[in-house]
Amino acid sequence: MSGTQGIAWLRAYMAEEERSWHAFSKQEEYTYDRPERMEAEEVRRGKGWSRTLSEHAHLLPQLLPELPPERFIHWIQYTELNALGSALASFDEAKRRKFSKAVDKAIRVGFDRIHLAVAAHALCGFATVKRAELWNISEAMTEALFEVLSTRKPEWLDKWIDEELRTGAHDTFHLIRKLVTAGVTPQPTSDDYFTALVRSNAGCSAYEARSLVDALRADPELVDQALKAFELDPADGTLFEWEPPYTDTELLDSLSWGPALLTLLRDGQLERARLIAAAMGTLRARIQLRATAFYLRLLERCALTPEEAAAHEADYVDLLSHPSSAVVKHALSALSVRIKAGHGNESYLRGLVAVCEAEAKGNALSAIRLLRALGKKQRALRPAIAVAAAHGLQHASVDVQEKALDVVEEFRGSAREPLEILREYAELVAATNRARVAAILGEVPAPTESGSDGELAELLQEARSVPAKLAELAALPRLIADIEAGSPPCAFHPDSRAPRLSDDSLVQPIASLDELIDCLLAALEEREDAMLIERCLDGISRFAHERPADFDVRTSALLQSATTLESYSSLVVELATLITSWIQRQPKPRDREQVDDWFRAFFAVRTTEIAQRAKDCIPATTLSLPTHSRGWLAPSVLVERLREAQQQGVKFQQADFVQALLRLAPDDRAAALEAAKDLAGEMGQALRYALGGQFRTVGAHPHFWAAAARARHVAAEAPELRDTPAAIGPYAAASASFEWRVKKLEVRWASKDEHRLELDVKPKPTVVPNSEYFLATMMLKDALRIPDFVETLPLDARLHTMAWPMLPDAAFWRGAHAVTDRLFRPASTLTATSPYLEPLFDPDLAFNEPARVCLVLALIAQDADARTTGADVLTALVEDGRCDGTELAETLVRMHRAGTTIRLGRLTESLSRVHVVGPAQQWASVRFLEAVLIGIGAPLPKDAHHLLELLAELNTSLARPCPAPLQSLLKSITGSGKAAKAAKRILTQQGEPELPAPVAAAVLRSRLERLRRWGQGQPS
Amino acid sequence: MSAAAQLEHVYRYAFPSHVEPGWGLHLATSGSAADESATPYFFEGKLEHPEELAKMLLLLSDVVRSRFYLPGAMRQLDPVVTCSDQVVRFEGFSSCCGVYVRVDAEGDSFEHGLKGRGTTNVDFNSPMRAALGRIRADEEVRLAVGADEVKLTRSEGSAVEKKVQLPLRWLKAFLEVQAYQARLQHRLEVDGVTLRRFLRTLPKSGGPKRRVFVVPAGRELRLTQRESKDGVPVMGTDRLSVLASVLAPSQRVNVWVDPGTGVSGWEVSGAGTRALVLLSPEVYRGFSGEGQALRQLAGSNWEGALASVRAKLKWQSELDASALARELGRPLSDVEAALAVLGSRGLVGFDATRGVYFHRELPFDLSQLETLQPRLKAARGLVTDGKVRLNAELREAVVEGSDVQHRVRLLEDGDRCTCRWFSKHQGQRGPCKHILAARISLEGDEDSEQR
Repeated sequence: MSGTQGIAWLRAYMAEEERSWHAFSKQEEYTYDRPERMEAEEVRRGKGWSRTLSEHAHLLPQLLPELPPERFIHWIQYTELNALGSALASFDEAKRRKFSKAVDKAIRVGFDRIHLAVAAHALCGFATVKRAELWNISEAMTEALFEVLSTRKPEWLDKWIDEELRTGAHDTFHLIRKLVTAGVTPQPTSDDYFTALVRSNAGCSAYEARSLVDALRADPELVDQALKAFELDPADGTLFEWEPPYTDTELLDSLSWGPALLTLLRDGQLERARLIAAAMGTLRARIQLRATAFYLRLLERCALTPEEAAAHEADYVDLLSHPSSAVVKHALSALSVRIKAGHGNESYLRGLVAVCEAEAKGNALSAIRLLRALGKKQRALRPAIAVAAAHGLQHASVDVQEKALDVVEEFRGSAREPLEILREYAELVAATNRARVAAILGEVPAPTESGSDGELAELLQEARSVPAKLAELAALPRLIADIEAGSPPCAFHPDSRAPRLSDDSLVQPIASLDELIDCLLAALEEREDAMLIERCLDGISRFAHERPADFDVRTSALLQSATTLESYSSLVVELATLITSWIQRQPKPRDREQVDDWFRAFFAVRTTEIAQRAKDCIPATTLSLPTHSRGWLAPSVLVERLREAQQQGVKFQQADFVQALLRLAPDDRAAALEAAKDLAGEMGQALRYALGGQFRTVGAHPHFWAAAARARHVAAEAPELRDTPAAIGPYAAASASFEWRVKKLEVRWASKDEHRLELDVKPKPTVVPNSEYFLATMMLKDALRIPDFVETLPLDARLHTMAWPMLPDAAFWRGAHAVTDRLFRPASTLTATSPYLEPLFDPDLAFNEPARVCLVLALIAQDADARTTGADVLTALVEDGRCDGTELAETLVRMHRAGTTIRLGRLTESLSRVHVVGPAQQWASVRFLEAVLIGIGAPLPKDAHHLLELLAELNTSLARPCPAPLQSLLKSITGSGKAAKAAKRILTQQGEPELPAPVAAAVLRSRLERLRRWGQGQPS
Repeated sequence: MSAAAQLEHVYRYAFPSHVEPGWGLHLATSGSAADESATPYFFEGKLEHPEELAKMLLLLSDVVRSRFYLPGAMRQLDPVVTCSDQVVRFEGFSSCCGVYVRVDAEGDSFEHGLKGRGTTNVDFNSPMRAALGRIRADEEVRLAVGADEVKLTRSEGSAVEKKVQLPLRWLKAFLEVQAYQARLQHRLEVDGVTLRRFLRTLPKSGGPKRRVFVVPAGRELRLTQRESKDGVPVMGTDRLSVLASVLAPSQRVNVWVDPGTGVSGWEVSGAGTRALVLLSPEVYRGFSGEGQALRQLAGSNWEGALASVRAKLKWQSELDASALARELGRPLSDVEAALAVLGSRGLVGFDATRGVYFHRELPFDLSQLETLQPRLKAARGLVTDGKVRLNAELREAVVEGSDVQHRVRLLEDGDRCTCRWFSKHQGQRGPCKHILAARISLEGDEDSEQR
């Protein structure tokens, strides 16, 4: 067939096919599955069209320009990319103009991306080219694009390359490189080019057969460029990665720069010295720490020869002060070989000092070993080495300090400078090394806390002069006897009658409608202030009737906030509903479908009561508004509020009354009882009973009596209520005791010894009622349920702790569940843990079992919030004498025996924030550690060295010898490991077994402080 | 203003900053916004404590290259240098705008060599960082900020030009941070080793999410969540760890706090160099969104003093407000307000240690200042659109919002508004647009009454 005949035939073929296709399309117009049928037919016919166009590819340059634009768009989609590239490359400017709009339109509509992209690059302006995104492009497409771009040489080519490089050029780097090597465009010099080279794997990608090594072999200049890219450290991530993310393991060798460069090195296609120098230079350039791993691995794989190491000696010395401990370790290893070969010199010392000052203990020990080795080889350097080693005393590790002192002693000779440095760091030295430092300095070690004896004598004198009744209340006689006998003082168990109210913790009720609106707006924003919520409830209750003329303007924004509220806190949602019903004077809707949170249900009842009163315009102070922080309510104030309410005939305040009873402070109850004698009704009777008055019959409201019993007896049983309707469940008429155990749950995504704990608590008697009015019981029921998903905001947690300030057991159990969820997970803003521990800052709150469980879990949790507050709480508990360490140890040992993985390093970290506070905390930490070790017994866990090392330091600091029960356990630790070394230190510690005077003074001082505080209150 | 608002900025350096063996540190300076072709030559002198300055410049570089909140979208924006008679100051911000860092090289830390006064950007590149890490205490090192004509001629062909999208919030943070520094109160002083030991006790990752306090415990420091009068509030303890690299036994660390907001400033003082790291109140809060100077910008008591105070700016390293007030014959409060406003316009900075302002003009195009203060712009819009109904007698206003009316009360103990912004932040992040609108209206009202 001649060329002319061929063109004519192809023209006719295309016309016939188009007609036929149009007819088919028309025929299918009304069929229900038209799209599917059309698609199938298009695929079938498309194959034929492609085959025909392929056979007549040489005619396309002539035929395609003839077509009208819409037909052109249709046919180019069935043209082979190579043929299309050649055809379009032959177009002149007039032909480009003819089709560019149609191509742009088709791209916007979203037709075939690949062919249109080639057409766009061949025919259109830069705006359309940008629209035709290039991704996942094949070798054939690259060739087609290369052909059109190299022929056309559009004026926007440099701009296009810049743009592609700026966005990574993941798929177009190969094309750009082809254009550069063909001389179509100059070699880009921007950082973006080198970044794209690396990130695109030199234009190779996972779906191509070509490997990175092949690409580098084919274009050796790329290797030079890759080495130049070593100098880059882009701020938006790492550049070179040994194992790029999302890369199939099988493809790793062909797509990772590390293996590729090593292959070229092995095959002699890359100069070894250049690669080593480039990697070394990059490490020295202080690039981001996460990026150092690649270069470090490269150097390790290169395994430098002694000659190469000698050439890079200065580099290695520089790397000793690198922030990455892995890099420092590598440099230490290289220099160690040099030193052993007798090549070390003075320049090493500066770097080795930097290693001693850094955090990594292993590196610091290696550095000191190298100093010693250097000293043995180079006698002249010994004084300077002693100076360098003396800097090792800055390190927190006892072992590092010990080894540093060894070197100082060995090499100091008569030099004075090392002594000056020792003197400078003397205060930082661990207790176990202090005597040695003093000996080197030729000083007598300072006696521990001298002057405490005198202070103790004065305190004892003061303690003996305290009136007998008060002294008994503070358990002073026993404490004095313990101190005089030199035995450890027992923990103090506060009496629930201790006064709690002080003038500096008064709660200010809201004073005006404006203030109420401000407070409500703030409360809706989930601030962590639980008292704000209480003040708001009271404010609405008191100012509900005030409707000034501009009420709508004043409350316009508040109403909008309340009605559009999106809050994680169910309690804030309840508050928002109350606000809406108050402003709109509507009854508050109540959701009673299913109660799964009894505290919320109770809170809802309280808000509903207030809404009722607001709707009826009955202003009244809420009975339960705390008068003092932490939720305490002064008894006399409650009496007055109830009297006023009765006089006004206030209704709807059952829940309010229950809450008020549970908040009653122990202060001044006798006077309040006297004042309450004329209060009428069951409320009056229950209040008098709560204040210590006579029990009357349980009437229609047994929950009043249950709450009153808790206000009166706290944790103890209320015998008066036995066999009454109020005698249901724990913390109603009965007391509560708990049985708890931890269940270890394996978690699929966790590492080997990590797991979730399920804290299973069973109260006695079991919880039975289903009425939110029995608040103390129902809060316990909520708290003991093992949650599927723990999510609590600090505000909610604090409202729980304020519900029954005298005995927040339910809050502690809730807290324990929350911390359990965070035992192996970092802190979260959606799971409040630390607020549950806050009630323990009250020095008169008993440190009971639920509190101990919650605190132990907090101290060993990964959650840094829980651990920080846990350490704060333990510090306070020891400070005021409620904890001596042993009771906490008992709980921890029980958890250990239940199979809980306890990270002892983490526990030691928590303790390190406690023992630094003072001698009492040091003492309690020692007692805790000893009790834990004895409780765990042999064999000790592999990370027990954390506990032993801390115990050794504290014992030395307190000059306390190892107690007899611990000796046999420590003697059973053999070997030369960390645990054995620490055990040896503990066993050899000399001193007096008695209670150290500074500790005794601290404990006694805090007990007298407690009495002084009570003196300011009014104990009943 | 959207979070992505950006300003196109070009750093033009005649040569890349570098360390020349045997000579010292050549820092390349960029042309100013006013004159992009200029290459300022500010300083050349011998450093008395080269290693100390090198470490502190590395700290500056570390902060500038860091992002402490939501990794990604990192921008490495070159620090700013200000040379004056007594101090060479370098300033920078982390990408998240939550950490500000300033390094001050005092006059006695170098053999003086002032060549000019001014502020510009300075090039910090990777090779220079590497070289800085190698500078030793006993080396003889010189520092040059900019270069003379000879050097510029020699370096022809090696010019560096970096086009960056300067986020407006980054620029705004530069302005906001001055207001915080003026309110800092001294809280703690410890030595370098104590702080370094403390930093090592902090969690490496997954630190506390709630606010913590750094308190002294004997010779050591400890972390607590209990607020105390001698505690330093910190959120995001990992932001403190940048200090570890500069701490040495001989250094003192002074810690400053703005009690109202919880901003803390950690200043490491060496033999002749100081480095201040200022942490924003919360990790997710950059200094950019704080609006601390809005109240002053919306007011007008500074307007009279502004021009005369500005005329007195001559690259002083210390601007004594009292002396200026005396010299200008104006009330001290007006001069202080004018200085604060100049700070919010990038014309002065505040040195918390000395308690004084210093003159420096940020080398950026600040013509979009109004854009940088969207709340102020919106407030002016509210006034212009007549959406503020003021009751000057009661000092109250009702401001029309979208589908809601906001009530503003201008009270002596702090202005209040019923909008959500105010309710959420309680004025800690500056006044809301409604309060600003009410203030503008009130001042306008009072002015017309006086007339």
